[in-house]
Amino acid sequence: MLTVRGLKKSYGSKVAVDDVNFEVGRSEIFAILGPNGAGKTTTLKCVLGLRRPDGGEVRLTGSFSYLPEEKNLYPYLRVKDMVDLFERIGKNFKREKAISSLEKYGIDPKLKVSELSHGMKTLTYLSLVLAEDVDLYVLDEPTWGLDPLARSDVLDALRSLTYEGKSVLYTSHILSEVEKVADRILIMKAGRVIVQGYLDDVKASYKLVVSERELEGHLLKRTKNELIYLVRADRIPEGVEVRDASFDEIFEAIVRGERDVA
Amino acid sequence: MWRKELKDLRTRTLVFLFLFVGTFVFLVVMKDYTRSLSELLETAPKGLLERFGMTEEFIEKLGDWNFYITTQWYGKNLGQFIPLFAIIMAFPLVAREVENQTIELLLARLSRKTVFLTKFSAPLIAFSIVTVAMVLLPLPVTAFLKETLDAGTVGKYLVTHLVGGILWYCVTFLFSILSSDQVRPLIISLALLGGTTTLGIVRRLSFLNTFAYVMKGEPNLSQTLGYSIVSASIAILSYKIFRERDF
Repeated sequence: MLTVRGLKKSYGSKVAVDDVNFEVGRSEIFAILGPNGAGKTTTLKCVLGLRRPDGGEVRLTGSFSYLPEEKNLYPYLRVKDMVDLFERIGKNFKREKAISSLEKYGIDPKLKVSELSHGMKTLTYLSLVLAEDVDLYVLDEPTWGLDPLARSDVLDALRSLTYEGKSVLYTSHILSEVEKVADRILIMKAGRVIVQGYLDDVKASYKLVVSERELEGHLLKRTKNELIYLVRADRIPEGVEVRDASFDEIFEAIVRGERDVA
Repeated sequence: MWRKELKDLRTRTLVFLFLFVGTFVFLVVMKDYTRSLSELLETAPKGLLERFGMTEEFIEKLGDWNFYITTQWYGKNLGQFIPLFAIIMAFPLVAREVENQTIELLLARLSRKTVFLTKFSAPLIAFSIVTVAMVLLPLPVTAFLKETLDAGTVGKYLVTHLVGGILWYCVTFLFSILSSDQVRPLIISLALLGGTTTLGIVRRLSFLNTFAYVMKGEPNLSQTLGYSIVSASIAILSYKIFRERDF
């Protein structure tokens, strides 16, 4: 569905995305994670052609829809005008689906976009994007600012897309939701891919190691007498205490680790 | 997208349309009061009004409908607003979408070419329709009042108003593409208009004075062709920048 090879993008001297490679398959939910400034949004924008990559290749077969990080719709239009606009410019837009989604979230189509709260604006935008019948949904922080019920609803909607053979490429800061819906993940830091793979494989390939001496790995915590490292399961040294690592701990250690040793 | 663009520019277009029509009605009504200017000339300090071109001969000429409309409508009120009208129509076209981060909504669904052509064309058509309507407005009024107006002169003003206006539309549109906020293209275009007009006072640089070109209504071939080529070049450059720009 989507293949990205050696993607590079710089803004002046600042490297935003450096040699990023990944693939999104059919009926798959692929999540890109990383701290602010990791290059997630730039990667998505390069994939969609909103930003011109400095190098690399993006191959996208099929149609796509996009939900940007900032859920900005036209503030002077009413929600029903936005539906009309999507009907004219959207890709295979299903009006009834959008209307029923808006009804489900209790959004009055007569309201002006400027009268919507942040969460309602996100739900409106999502209703419009998910009513486009495309092959790949590219969603940048789709659940940011939503209440838990709405978030759960959206995640269910994303999961059900894959049952229809659709794919989802999305970014998120919320690890628990990624754990809930993503098939594969990619963790970025400072523009580079640090970890990539099936979520279960990633979780199985790392362990927490408690040691009194310095080790090779991502340092997660430093207590008075001990150092806690995230270490690849196949590189655990002898004579140390080993624990299972949660996804949160893997992410935190990789992103915040004092020493990055892959 | 056309409908959205037309909705976007509706307010600006209507404001200018009402402003122009209101000014024209006011001008027609004021024609009958030009005689009182002669009295003003008599009471004003000697030489003061003449310094501003208000000679007795000029005031007498104002009684002639053709002279009055030519100098006061095309040569003053409408003419001086045309570049400003063009700038106001063009400055937010792309910059507002970038500033409000709504450009992504369009570009994720439409080709850059479609977005560019719609953004460039819709307001340009609105600008041209209003300009043509306002230039031609005196013709039916003239017929209604059983006055006479030289149609050839009207035709010349039609050319200068459109060519001058489109030039400033293209210049401002380019700045709108280059900017990420709305204020910058407006300020830069207005500053450029002021700057070129001032520089145009110098005889050798008189071609820069677009106000003079628009308000004089003498579309000499070199200037008209020059402005048209510059407009077309800026439009092509704008498209090239828009096609490559990061959003």
